[in-house]
Amino acid sequence: MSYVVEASHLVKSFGSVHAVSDVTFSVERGEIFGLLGPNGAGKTTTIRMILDLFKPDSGTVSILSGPMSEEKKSRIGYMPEERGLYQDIQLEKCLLYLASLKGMSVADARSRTQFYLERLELAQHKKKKVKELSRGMQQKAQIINTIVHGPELIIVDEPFSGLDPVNTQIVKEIMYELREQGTTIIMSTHMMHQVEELCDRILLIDDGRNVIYGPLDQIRRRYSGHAVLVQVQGEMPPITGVHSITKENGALLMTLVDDVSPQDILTQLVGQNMVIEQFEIATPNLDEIFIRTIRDKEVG
Amino acid sequence: MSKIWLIARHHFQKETRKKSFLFILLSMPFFLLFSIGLGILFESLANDRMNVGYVDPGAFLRQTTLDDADEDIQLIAFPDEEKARLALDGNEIKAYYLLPADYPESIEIDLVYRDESDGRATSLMRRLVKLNLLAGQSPEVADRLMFGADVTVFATDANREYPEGGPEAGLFLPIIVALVFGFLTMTTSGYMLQVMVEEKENRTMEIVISSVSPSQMMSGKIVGALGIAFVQLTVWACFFLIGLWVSRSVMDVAWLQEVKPVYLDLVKVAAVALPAYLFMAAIMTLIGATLVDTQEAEQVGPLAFLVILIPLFLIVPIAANPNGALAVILTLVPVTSVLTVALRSIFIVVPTWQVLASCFISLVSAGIAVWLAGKAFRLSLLRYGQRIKLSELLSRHSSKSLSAS
Repeated sequence: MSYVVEASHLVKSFGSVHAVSDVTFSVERGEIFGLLGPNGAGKTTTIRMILDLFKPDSGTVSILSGPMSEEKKSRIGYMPEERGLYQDIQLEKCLLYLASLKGMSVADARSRTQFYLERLELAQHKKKKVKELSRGMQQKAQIINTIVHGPELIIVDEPFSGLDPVNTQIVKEIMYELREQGTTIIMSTHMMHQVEELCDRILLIDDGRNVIYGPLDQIRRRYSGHAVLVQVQGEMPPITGVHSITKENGALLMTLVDDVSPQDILTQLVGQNMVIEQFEIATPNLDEIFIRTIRDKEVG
Repeated sequence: MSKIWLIARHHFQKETRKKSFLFILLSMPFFLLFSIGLGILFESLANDRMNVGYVDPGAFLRQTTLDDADEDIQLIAFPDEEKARLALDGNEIKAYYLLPADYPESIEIDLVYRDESDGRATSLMRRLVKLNLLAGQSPEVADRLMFGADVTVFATDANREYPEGGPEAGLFLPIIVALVFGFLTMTTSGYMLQVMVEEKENRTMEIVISSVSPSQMMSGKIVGALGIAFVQLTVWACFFLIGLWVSRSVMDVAWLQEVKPVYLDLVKVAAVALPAYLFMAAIMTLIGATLVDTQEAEQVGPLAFLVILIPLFLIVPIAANPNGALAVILTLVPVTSVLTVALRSIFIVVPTWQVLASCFISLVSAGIAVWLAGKAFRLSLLRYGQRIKLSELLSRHSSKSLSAS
């Protein structure tokens, strides 16, 4: 397997504060990888160690097949959470300058910047100073700055922050396209529904340690409860082996008693000649997994 | 294109396109113009033409003109005091001198005036009397008695010589160079501090060092600042030279004619100034990396100017012993070196080894400051909004946790 990023047992402390205690993960080429965690979990510190902004106290990082080098910086796009652009200069000049630092020629930088300015509907604002743009526009400008040089690896911190639904969709489309082109994306965010929609694999960290790590579908299955979601035509007949029933989006969420399987419920429904419109194993969404995991950890 | 150059060009263009830069650029020539104008005004006021009378019934003053006499003073002879008094009352003359008929014996002259004379007329009268008293002496004796001995002071321990009256105006030129350096450093310091703090505040630095190394970023900023300083210096020098030429050659300002630059002193001050400037730029980058907000940065710029002026506050001990320990130490310390070398140059020829040592110390210190700035910058990334202490910068722990730039 070709890993773009391999972080092994990263540890980082600032004085008495343990920002990252033990984080290990790998990011595969061409995937969108979600880095999740509550505030102060150590996500940003982990990203900064990956980018070699500072060294870990212990542990190792391999990025694009080895340690970070100056040459590799041009193959990486990084967007920190909030701000990060020169406020006092024109948007276009700011983007062209930062693109030139990534090793782009003036002509390439100009044409690709123009392309993305149009794509993200910022072309008419390119002569405005960055500080004159709205928060959402600045966020889109940050995204352009991150991807304009066609990096192999993109690391984005809260990419959808401040974006309206239309722009969120545009950015998502761009991320899908980049993934199709083989670009690897590491995304740190709190927006779980975006993670569910975009990410192939995730790492949830809390208190600077791995909590959940792996492919998203496997994680959801792992966390699925002993329950089924059922929707039938007409009124639901009495079913045995059900612990409790709650309504969820028009369907009924049946939590089963321990020795009853979903197959037993299905057999009962078919046996009573019910027309079944929906029958599925209930899997929790990422929000629920996130909250449950963090709470369980706190209780533990 | 080198990334250092790209960063330098960016900062150069960003700063030189500001209105405030144009204001600073033109403020110095306007100040110069104002100073020269003031000088010309004072000179023209001092050179007021005036008529002065004299009454010489004994006909002592046989020779009534001097070769180098002040052309603005017109001496008018009156046959008697009554007529001189009438002329004074009628404002035809400012004053009149009354030589008694037995002047050679009495050697007393009365001066009658309405408003106090400015001294030029009395000086002229003294010299005229002296000239007439010396009539009949050999030209050598007369010349010596008229003009006195031609003494040149030569200080063997200082390797400097100047006329009896003290240092010539040209010897003070290095101080002007040093003050320009101070002004330049103050503006650069303000700029560097502001850039560093702003980029930290809006986290642009984090973006930049995901593209370049911290040392490349710091070096680019310093080279950019050097470029800005070069433009300022060039423009100021052009205005200065044009002003000097106009004043000396076109307007014929007398005191400027006497200014003779000592080029070796100027070269020495310039040689010390360049690395000292680099050091100041680097140290401001370091301070900028440790500060939290732009308000703090605005306070540090003028403080840098005050530190540069320390030798001026110590001018008495430096002048008393320009080769003493204090003067030598201040020459070797990067921030005080430029003004100290300029001040010492008035009294002595500053030894070349001290100039070279000062350059070396400034350059090494600048290198250390850039290195520390890189560390401070990385530490500041860990702790946005918190000030960084010097002890943290120098501690082994911080160096261990930060990657080499």
